[in-house]
Amino acid sequence: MIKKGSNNKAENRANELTIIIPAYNEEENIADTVRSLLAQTTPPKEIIVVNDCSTDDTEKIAKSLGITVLTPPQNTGTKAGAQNYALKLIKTKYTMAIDGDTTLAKDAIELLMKAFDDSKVAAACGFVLPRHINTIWERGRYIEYLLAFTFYKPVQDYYGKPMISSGCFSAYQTDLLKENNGWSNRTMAEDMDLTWSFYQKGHKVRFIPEAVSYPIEPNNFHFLSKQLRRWSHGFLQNVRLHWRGVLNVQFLNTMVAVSFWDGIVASLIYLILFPLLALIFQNPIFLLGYIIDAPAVLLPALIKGYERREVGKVLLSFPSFFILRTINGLFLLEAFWKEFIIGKPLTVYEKGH
Amino acid sequence: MNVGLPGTGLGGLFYLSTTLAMLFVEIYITLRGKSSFKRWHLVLKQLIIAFSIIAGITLTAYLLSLTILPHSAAVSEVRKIMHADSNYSFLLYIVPLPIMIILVQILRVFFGKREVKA
Repeated sequence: MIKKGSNNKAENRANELTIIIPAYNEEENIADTVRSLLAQTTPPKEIIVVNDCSTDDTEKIAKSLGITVLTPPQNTGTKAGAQNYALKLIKTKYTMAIDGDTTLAKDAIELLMKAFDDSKVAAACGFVLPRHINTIWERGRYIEYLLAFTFYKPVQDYYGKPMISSGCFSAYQTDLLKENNGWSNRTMAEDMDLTWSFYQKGHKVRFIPEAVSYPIEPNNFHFLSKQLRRWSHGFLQNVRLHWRGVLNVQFLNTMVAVSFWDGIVASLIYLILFPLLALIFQNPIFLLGYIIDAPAVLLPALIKGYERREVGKVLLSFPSFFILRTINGLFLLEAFWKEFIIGKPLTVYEKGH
Repeated sequence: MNVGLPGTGLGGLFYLSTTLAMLFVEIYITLRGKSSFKRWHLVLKQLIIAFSIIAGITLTAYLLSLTILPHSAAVSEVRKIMHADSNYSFLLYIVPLPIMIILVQILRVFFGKREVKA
């Protein structure tokens, strides 16, 4: 557990920090993101917005906030491309990447940077919660994040292997990031690619749950589908790319294998076996399978919800999780079919809002 | 991002098992003089979550066994087909995880590769 409080080390570390914000058509959100960084208990030395040839007022708004704004000569095509465009200019010891729609809790940077007390840590990530929790999709995502970041991720961190240093809010040692040539475009999940690459090189990655970020999650099915397609394909692309290297990283190897198994087999059970049994036996009782593990999801979410005084929000959002989970399964199977069976990988990066 | 279908299933069992293992790992680390209050705070918090999940699932299964399941001929038939009536049927749920762990280690020996160039 990381404690808050005045800390010269934290301030010094923030003075050695540059934040990159890749932004494409973020005129509605960029101001909030930048302001949340300027209002931090330990603000960074520099903030760079990479305006990836936006067609709206992103550049104008970002410039009005008094920070560095870079515009590549042409759209880089991906978040990784935009981030790498700024990376080559960074001279500070630490680099942070934050999405253009993400705000941070006031002390997020101060708390996150304490992970680098250990000089072997290459990357650190924090807790993620949706900024808006209104629609069915945002509510489902809220429960999903509460479960993952309250139960799964602390276990991963205990064993030294957080599965992903989330791209929406992560900090890095700049020299190790540059040694990796920054973020790669070879998969749709550049954050996962980078994390697994770090592990294979023997570096450490940390999860700091006290450092909280609030990205905007998809609020309708159209944008949700773009995001889930990217995430599903990204995971499978990384499995295909890294499987032999990841096999040598203990704990991560089993975690990835289990995730892969669950993603494909559990999805098949969810989407095919349960409805099939219900049809064959003309009995809806088999559909109980969709919700029989409710305690496994609800209890971690409620525990965190109680901590955050959001118990009512958790209970109201809980049913949405099961809908989102089923949709997740559909996209995973679609991604598996395209990536592994018919050889049609996803190569076009599309934003989730 | 989350991968797969969070909840129970192999992933859920994996995290429950590794959480329970945290207790023994931390005892070992404490005996070596390398633990701390912060570490024990984390371990105990995760154990509370794990035990509450186990209790919740056990209660759900118990309530279902008293109410809906005994009256469902369809479920009885499926249980017979899957040999889930025996006292050892719970192994069907637990055994896949150790098999997965062993399989991963076998794959590591034969196919594991050192550093992937960026």
